[in-house]
Amino acid sequence: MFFHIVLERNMQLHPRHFGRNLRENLVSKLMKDVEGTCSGRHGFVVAITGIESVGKGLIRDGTGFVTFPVKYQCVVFRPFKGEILEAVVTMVNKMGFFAEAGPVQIFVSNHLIPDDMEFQSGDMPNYTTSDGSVKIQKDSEVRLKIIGTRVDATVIFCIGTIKDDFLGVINDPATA
Amino acid sequence: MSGLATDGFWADNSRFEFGCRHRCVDLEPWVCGRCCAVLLLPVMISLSSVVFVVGRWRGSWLLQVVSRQWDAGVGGCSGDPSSRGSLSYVLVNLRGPNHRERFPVSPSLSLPRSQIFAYTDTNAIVSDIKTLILTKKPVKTPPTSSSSSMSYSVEPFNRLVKLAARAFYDDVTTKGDNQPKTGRSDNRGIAVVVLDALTRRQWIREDDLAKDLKLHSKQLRRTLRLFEEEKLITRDHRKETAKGAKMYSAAVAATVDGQVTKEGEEKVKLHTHSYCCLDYAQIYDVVRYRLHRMRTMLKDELEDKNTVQVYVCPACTKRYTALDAPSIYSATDEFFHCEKCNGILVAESDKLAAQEGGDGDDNARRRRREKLRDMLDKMEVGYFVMVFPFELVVPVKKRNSGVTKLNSGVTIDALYKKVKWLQTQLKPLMEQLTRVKDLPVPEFGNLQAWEARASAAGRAANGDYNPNDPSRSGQGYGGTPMPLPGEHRVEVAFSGVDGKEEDTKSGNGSTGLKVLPPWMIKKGMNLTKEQRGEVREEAKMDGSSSATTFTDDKKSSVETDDKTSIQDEYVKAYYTALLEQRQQEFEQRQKQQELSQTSSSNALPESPSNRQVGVKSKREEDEEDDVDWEEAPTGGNTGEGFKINDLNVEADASPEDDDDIDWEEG
Repeated sequence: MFFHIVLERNMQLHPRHFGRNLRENLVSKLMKDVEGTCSGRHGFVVAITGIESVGKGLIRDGTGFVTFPVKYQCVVFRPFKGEILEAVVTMVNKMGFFAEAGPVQIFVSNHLIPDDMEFQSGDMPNYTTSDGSVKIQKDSEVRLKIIGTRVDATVIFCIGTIKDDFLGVINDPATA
Repeated sequence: MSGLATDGFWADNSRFEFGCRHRCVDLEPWVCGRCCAVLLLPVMISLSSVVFVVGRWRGSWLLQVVSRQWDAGVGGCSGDPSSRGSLSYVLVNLRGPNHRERFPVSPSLSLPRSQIFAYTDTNAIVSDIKTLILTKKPVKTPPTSSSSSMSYSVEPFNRLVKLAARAFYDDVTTKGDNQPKTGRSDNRGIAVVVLDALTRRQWIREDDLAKDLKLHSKQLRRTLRLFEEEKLITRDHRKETAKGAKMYSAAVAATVDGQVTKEGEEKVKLHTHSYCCLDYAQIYDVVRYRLHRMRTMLKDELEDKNTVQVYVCPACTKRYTALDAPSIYSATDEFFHCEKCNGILVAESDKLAAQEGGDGDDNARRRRREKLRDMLDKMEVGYFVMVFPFELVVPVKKRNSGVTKLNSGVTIDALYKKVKWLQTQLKPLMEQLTRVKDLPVPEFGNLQAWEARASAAGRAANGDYNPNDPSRSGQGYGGTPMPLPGEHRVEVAFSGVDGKEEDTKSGNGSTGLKVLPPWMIKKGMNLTKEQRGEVREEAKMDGSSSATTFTDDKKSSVETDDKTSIQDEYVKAYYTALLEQRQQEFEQRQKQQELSQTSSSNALPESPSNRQVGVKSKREEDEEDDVDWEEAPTGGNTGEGFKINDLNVEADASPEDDDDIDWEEG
């Protein structure tokens, strides 16, 4: 799920960036540092949409770095248990398949794939129904439900299922 | 209407087979015990088709029209309508113009057998069913009698409540977690007792209930609060005087033994009293929802949905879950590898199979596996067939594929126990739910409405005039009651059972009513002549006076108003009476003309009614019309409205009222 929230971060700025472009430099550094990271609490920071406030800088002894407390608005993406996501299959193997929904990696184990889909090995491993009408392979788009998340400090990993109503392949590059 | 069809035959006497293939036609709950087919009762049989009532859906009846061309004659359609692709469902909206009207719900029984006609096309059937059922009188709860509101039976619902209580609230304890559970303070089962007690009551003051159950009121309140949260009961709290509480007592007395208590002494002190009552409609929904949730949860568990796959290293028995997938996945051979020993991991459900014929305790494992499979078999069959007969979704494939272990944290034993419990506990509950499904839900309304209704019923039943009657006190509920002025009392004496009495009396043509002293009679009061101490001349003049016939009508309708719609009867009777009265008036006017022509005052005994019949009575009649156009739609709402109307007509028949009053005042 996506959220638009306000976060705060202490930015350390090198003295060489001081000058009339200090603020611009601060913002660009913030974007470089923050966008694409993942925190266990808030999820993936997708984009910074604005700066709320920049606090008073504090000069560090010895280094000359200045610390600014910056409040910024950003869009975060946090997967939840029970959430339905659409993801792109990245890898298919005997144990199941991996898929990605943006920054989140999701694993669907083979017992959470409908029973009528069988694993076919080969140079393009895939899961196929017995009549061959539905095929899950690399780059297929699937709709899945998250049934478990593992949230570490810097990474979020999910496991999903496609064994439920209205889940499964939504767009197959092979047939398209 | 040629060739009236009978139950087992088409209209042309060819055989019509009805029931599922097990021929369980006479099953009472309409469900075949063996194939779980839902049996349907035909409401219409025609030359070409049969119409069944399949069910109700949001106030509409779902009718199924089975055409003969399509199907050689199987009437009972099982749960899979797709197997008979040619059946058509017809949704007939059976709501009346007034959406609050309720129709008798039991579909087959409300259509008498004589209404089975022969039809040739289904459209006609449907339209006729529509008219048939729409012209049926709506079942209104006649508010005057609580006995009739109880007439559609509470019993099945009470059984439902009792079953639900035992199924879900048997071991509920209302003690807080911080309190130590000693043997003495263990109050499990109290919920069942309270619910059972509530099934025997309607609205009950909680203090009274506590007294009846010999419970501490705090303990009772805790239990009731639980039920309120579970949406089984509705509660009402209000501040009232000791006298206000009497209103409730009066209502209770009316429902219990028909004895209305007299007004007690007043206390001005206000107390908050709580009342509670079972909410049957909601209970039905709550129980169904609960079962639904249980079913989906169990189904998910059984089908291993939403469970995280566990992988085990056969060598070092280290366990991993699917959440570890990225770290244990090896891109080289596409298997999961143990982080410690680099052995290939096995999914746990396959573990037993993988270790078959492996190490020493092979036999023990095999026995365990047999046991698991046995349990799963029982669970699947038992659970789906016994408890949820409509959902025969046995995951056969799964069972056959040899999966024996659930991956969720629930142990097989616990699950098995749960299912066993479901079988024993919930089967009767499910049956009761299906039984209750089409029955009208008993409603007691909110506390005020119920009180008003119950006490009105009590008054109508025993004719005891209760000055403390909530339905008539102008100051509303819980307000400080004022001493009633004498005028009110007179009116009450009228609208109560006296009115009924009067009906009988006037029907006999005798004057038995108490004569009111002239000082009590005021302008604007609707009084009969008997009460004014006059002899009823009109009634004697022509034996078949409109008034008498009308009151006779009324009397009979009073007697049967429990069953028939008061409204219809009343309107009909009113219009006939009006018609007759008009005729009478016309005759009187003619008579008057004759009188004036003969101009002899002694020739005929001049009745007082003849004097005033000119403009004045005309005006009165107009008034009457106005009043009744107002009253007619709402007629039957209260016993009083009904009775007052009655009196108005009576007064109408004696248009010399004003004259009398003039005389009295002068």
